[in-house]
Amino acid sequence: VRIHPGWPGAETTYVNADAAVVTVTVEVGAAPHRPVGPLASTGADLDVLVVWALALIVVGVATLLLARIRLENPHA
Amino acid sequence: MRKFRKLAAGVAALTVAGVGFPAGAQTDEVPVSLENTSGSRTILIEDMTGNELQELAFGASRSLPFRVRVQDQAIAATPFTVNASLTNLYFDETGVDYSTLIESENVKLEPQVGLGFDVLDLEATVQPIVDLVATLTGPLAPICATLTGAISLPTGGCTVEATGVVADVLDLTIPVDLSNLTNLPLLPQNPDTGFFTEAEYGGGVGLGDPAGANGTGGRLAGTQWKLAAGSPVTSNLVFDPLTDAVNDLTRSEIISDAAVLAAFNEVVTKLASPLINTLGATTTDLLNATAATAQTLGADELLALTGQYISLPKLSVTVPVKDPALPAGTYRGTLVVTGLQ
Repeated sequence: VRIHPGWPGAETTYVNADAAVVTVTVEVGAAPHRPVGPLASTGADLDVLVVWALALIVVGVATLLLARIRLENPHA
Repeated sequence: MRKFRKLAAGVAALTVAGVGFPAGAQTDEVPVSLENTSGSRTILIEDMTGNELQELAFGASRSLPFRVRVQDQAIAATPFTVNASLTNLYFDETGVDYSTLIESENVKLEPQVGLGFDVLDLEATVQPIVDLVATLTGPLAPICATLTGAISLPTGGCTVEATGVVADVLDLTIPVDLSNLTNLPLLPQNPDTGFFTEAEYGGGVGLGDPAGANGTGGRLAGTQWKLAAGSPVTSNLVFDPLTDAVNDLTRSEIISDAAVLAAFNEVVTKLASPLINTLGATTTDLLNATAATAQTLGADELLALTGQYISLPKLSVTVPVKDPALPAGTYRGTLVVTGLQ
């Protein structure tokens, strides 16, 4: 956007104003900390997702460990 | 002779954005001829890499820097102000919905942290008034005996002075130290800090908002904040360094030979040519024996300035929490930028 103000002339001095415009756009509901995909509709924050993911990993690892223990000691 | 410039090409691109100008301002499609007695001043709204800005697209971000560049080319040191007002940001997925909006009061203007403005490529065009002193010694010394009013020197010869002589037009580089701006003839200012508490209805997308009627056929105006400004300074802190810069030049750089000889001929009739030639000296001898010292410059001697004044503001938006919640999507508004001088 370029503005060319008028100039005070040699014979008259005056105040002038020229204007231009800049479009401003904002996206709502798609902030980067919002999850995308199936959980998006819950509005859960990314940090909540991280906690859930960690919890799932812990549960998964624990399940695997339990399964391995049961395999090694089927009578335990 | 008047000079006219056609000044509208730069804003023609605004038509593409589909937005209009506020009432009373010049439209983008009308060639505008303005009287311009000297030089030019152009105000450009740009992104941070210097591209002309058509849109401040926040996307999912909530803060955007941009810059305002005032480009002066050999123009008088006149003040300027660049203001901005903002419409509400209206929900616009399939068309502007004036009933669903982010109020302009949620948008804040402020300087970018640590970077309020910058000044580049600053030059002053000056025409100093100088005092000339010719020291007539050696081959010029015999002239002294024929002169009335010459000041005799104890070592022989004399001096002849011509004071208040108009020198050449000079372009001087003005050093810029952003930590000490006292030497700048046109002092830039920081962008304002504040929220757009009142929405602009007189420009851009705000023109279509039925809430913007002011009851008298006009449109309600929004809060104006300063994006950039410059104000003339005429203190000695400005002009003393310029005077010193002139005096750092050689005599021939300050004032032409012809002007020197003409000035001396006014002081001593026919000194520069017939008298010197009669006595076996030359005008070159006289020119070589002449020193020029600038009188302290002032506003009258500062003819014009060239340079770039860059203001570095940013806009920040806070999406308000509402009940019912704002629908997800694009919200569109218009920043109306006005240049005044």
